[in-house]
Amino acid sequence: MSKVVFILPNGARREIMDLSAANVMEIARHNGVAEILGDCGGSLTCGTCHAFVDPDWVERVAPPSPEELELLEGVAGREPNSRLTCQLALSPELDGIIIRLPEQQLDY
Amino acid sequence: MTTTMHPKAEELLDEVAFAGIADPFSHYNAARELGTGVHWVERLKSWVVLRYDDVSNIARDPDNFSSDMFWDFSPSWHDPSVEGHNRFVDIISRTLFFHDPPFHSIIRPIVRQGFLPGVVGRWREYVQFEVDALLDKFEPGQSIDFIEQFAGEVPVAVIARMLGVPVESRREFREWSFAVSSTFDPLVVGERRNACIADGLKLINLFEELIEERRREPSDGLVNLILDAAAKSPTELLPADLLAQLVILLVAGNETTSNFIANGVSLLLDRPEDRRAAAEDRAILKSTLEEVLRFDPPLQLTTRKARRDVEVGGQKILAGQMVQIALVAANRDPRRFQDPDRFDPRRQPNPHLTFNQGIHSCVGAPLARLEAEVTLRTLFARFPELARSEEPSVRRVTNLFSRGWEKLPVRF
Repeated sequence: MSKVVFILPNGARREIMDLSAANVMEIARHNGVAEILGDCGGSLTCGTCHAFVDPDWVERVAPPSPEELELLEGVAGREPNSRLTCQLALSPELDGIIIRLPEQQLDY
Repeated sequence: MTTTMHPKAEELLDEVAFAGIADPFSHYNAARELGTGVHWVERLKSWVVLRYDDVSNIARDPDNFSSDMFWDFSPSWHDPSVEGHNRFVDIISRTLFFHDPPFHSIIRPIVRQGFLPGVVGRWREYVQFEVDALLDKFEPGQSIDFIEQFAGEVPVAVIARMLGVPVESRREFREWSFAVSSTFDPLVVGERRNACIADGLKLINLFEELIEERRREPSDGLVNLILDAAAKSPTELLPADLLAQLVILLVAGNETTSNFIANGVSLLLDRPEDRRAAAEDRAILKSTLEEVLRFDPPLQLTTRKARRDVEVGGQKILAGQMVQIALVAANRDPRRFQDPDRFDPRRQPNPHLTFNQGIHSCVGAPLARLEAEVTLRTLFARFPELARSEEPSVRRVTNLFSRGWEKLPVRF
């Protein structure tokens, strides 16, 4: 099972199931979640797939790598639960993970 | 290697590369659907890969597909007997385009300063100021060549301001930048190549002076952001390495962004309803711009070299062979996009590959989006009557990699 629950900036909830996606960025990008750009396709290079992991789920995801932390310094509106969604690999343990989308991916 | 599974595909791609096709999309579409969608083109001495998944996989696989191929193709062509040529290719060979990790991994975090998604907004005022200043020159009813007199000026003006280049140098700045990008084009040879390299050297010298100046008198512009990041890097960089990255940031962001803006305006001039919707609603303008990027990407192909024997889409590629990945064809692959030849400003999802993927994905993408958004919004607000002139627009068809415009006549 690979279901992700996205909370849009306007509060709307969107549940997406996509067995072909490897991570949260891919599930967003391939299913029309416009708030996630994901330009580099998950190569930890662009920082355009930023979102917030729901507090209830933060402890359940693997912590960010040093490379991810470095890129997180350059995202718009960073919070303690900020993550790059390309680094959140889908797994049975994360089935139903709740991801809050940022107002804007680019800070203008 | 002359294996050709589909002679027809090679013929189509050869025509796109060498015959000057104003509308290459039907050729790319047809070649993508023949055989494996991976075709050898003898005159390019390259494989051309056209399907979405194959393009995406190659772009994200630097272990099998190297970018360290500067000396293997047209950007390195020069005449060592002509003064300055060796210096020119030495500098350009150092740019992050043409390197793999570990060197690329050292350079990229330095170069991305100033373009990251959370900091690019610092340039917004610059972009707005320059777009307004350029538009101030025009009156309602006036006819101009949109590409020469406006779209071609916007990115130069913005980056010149970001770098602190004096206003009076901008024309040369634009010409020299175009000269450097022309040296990437395999059709630019002989005297024309010599002239481009000569102008490219002038640009390199200008940047060298600029770096010296900013070291002496720091400012809050892009040069100092990059110098500061380089100073903090765990690996010390040679001055030539830094110089190369600054030159290429200008060159890479210049013509591509001009064409992005011009492509967007051209598409919307023919679609009044879409134009009105984009002018009135920011979310629609943003999705429209993503569709412009997908539908008519400024950079059509990008190059890799196989590190080892590898299979792509069932086609064997041998170690050392060059591979062109066709972003332009992937963007219209029906395996990924519904009704791909239709321009749909509300298209969702729209996972186009225009900025490329992987470690070499476009570092300036956030700035390109910012420039296009500000430019189109301001242009349509200030000149709601903007229309095509009677004189026809003409696409530039001489550069396989970069699809541009010869002229795009409009009336304000």
